[in-house]
Amino acid sequence: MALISMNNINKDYTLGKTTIHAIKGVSFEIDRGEFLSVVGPSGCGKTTLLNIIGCIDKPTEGTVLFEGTDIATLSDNMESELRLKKIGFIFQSFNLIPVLNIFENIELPLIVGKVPKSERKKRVAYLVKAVGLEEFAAHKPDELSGGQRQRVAIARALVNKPDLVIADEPTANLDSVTGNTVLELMEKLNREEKVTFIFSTHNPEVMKYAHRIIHLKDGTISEVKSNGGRP
Amino acid sequence: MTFLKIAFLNMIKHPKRSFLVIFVVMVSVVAMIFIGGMFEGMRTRFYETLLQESGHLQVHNVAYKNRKEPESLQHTLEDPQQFTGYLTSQVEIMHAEAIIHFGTKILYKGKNLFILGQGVHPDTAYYGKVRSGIVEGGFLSSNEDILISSRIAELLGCSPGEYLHLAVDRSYGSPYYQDYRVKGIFKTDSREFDDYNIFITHADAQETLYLPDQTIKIRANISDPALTEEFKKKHQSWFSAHHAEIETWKDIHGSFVVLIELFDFFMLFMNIFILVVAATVITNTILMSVFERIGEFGTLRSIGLKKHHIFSMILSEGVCQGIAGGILGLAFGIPLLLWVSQTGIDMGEAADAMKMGSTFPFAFSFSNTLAAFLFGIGVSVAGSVYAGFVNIRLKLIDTLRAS
Repeated sequence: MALISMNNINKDYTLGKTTIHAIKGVSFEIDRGEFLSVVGPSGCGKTTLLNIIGCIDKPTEGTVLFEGTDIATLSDNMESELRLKKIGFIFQSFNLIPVLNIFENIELPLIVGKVPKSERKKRVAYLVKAVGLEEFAAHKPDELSGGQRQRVAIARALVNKPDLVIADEPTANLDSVTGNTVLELMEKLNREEKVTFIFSTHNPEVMKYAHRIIHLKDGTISEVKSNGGRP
Repeated sequence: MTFLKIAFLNMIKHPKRSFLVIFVVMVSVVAMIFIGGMFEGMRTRFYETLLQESGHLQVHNVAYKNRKEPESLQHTLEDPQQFTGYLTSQVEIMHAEAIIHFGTKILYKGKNLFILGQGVHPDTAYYGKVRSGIVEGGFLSSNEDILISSRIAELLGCSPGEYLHLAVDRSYGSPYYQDYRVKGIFKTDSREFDDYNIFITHADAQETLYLPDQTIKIRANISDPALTEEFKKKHQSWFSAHHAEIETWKDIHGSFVVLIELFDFFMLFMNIFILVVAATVITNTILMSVFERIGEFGTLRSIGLKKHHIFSMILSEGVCQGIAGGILGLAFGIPLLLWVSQTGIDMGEAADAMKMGSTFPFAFSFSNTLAAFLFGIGVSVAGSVYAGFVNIRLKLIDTLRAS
């Protein structure tokens, strides 16, 4: 069974009297362990698609099955539970909690998930090391560089051992060297932790990292490419 | 604990907004404590003054109300002891005593003053402010003693131990005068009272006015003032049978009781006004603070926090700010009230006209203070609840777009 199955997804936005069709009849599946990229120019519907997959937004039409469960049937609390336990998010602008230090930022989803303290400490310590930020664990986000912050966001996304990590333009606010480091880290974690990654980008350099690439154009899938070779 | 920590750290991270909420809560609590103290003081003083002047119950001749002159000696009570004896035999009555009011003229070394005389027992339970306000000499102890106020003593130029003449019209109409030795000089907080009252013993008043075994009024204090109406109804027939009428303090001071009710209404209005102003400012400030962090709340929801977690965080901030503001309000409000209640605020004739003395009194009340503290927290919590509801009603996608 596919991890995610999207069937004929449509998403419309109403702006005044105008209806904008952001996603038009999109269908595809994501298997476990994939490192998948959604690419396309700005405004093609990448973020909207990722938001629908991540239960952040709801489609106007169509069904999204997460491990065979139609997410439209989930209550608000069940959606939160799904996001907490099964999905990790990495945002373009990092979205860390400014008043918490790095350790606490990564630990937060575990606290919400009521994971015992000793287990929390072990898991966070492992991830802090995995993303190479041991020295910065007690620092606040605003004391870190963009690349370091994104690594914190990756650690936070992975802390609950999710089945799926959604990254919306994870390298957009980073320089190319830092961006590559972040992608290499994501790929490493995909390989080692067996976590499914789906990320969006409009940067051809970034899309090279993906195993499979879904091209979006004007809200529809224009091409799906398998990218066997890694950079 | 983590949510409380985030709430607390957010308060520190946004010091101006936090300070504004805490400051508004503090000012509201101080204002409520101050206004509450003022009304508590006024009410206490008001009842003290009223009861000092009238007692809870008064008994007088059934025709007393029809007298043509305020200090008429025409309608007296015969055999006052039968009334005081009857009253004190009732379990509800704590004290009863006879009092004579009369119009008089004081004469001293060519100066004279028209004044109101009070004939009271040397151990009277009333006029406590006169007894405690003795500044020279002592209280009435024997016949031919007279108490005068310091203002009258100043006007006449007399001192304790000196004699002055009291000229009266006796009960049968003839003029009469009697010499009295100034036993003491008093000063109360009411200039009006001091200007128009002198005191002699009840026995002297009976003799000077020629009221043998008679009095003008009987005053009585009841253990529970709420029972005065019931007591009146129960015993009215006995007094009617003895050509007497019984009145409660509400009958005597009806207009002032209405005034007290007006005070209560005004206090309620003031508190509602403070509530509305404080709630508006606090809610607005908390809303601004919450909307500034709307993206942050969106992030928290996207990583799995439920709506009630977000609501709890916003509420925690409100509670923290409310408690901080409330404690500061107590820290400033209580000393301020205690300081003002030492001396009161001099309001001159205006307050005196309301029978409260010329000084506006203040009194500390634990219940008022507690209410003000809870009010401060309540307003802050209410503002947070509103901001929390507004926030969690937003769609997750919209909150994330804000970031």
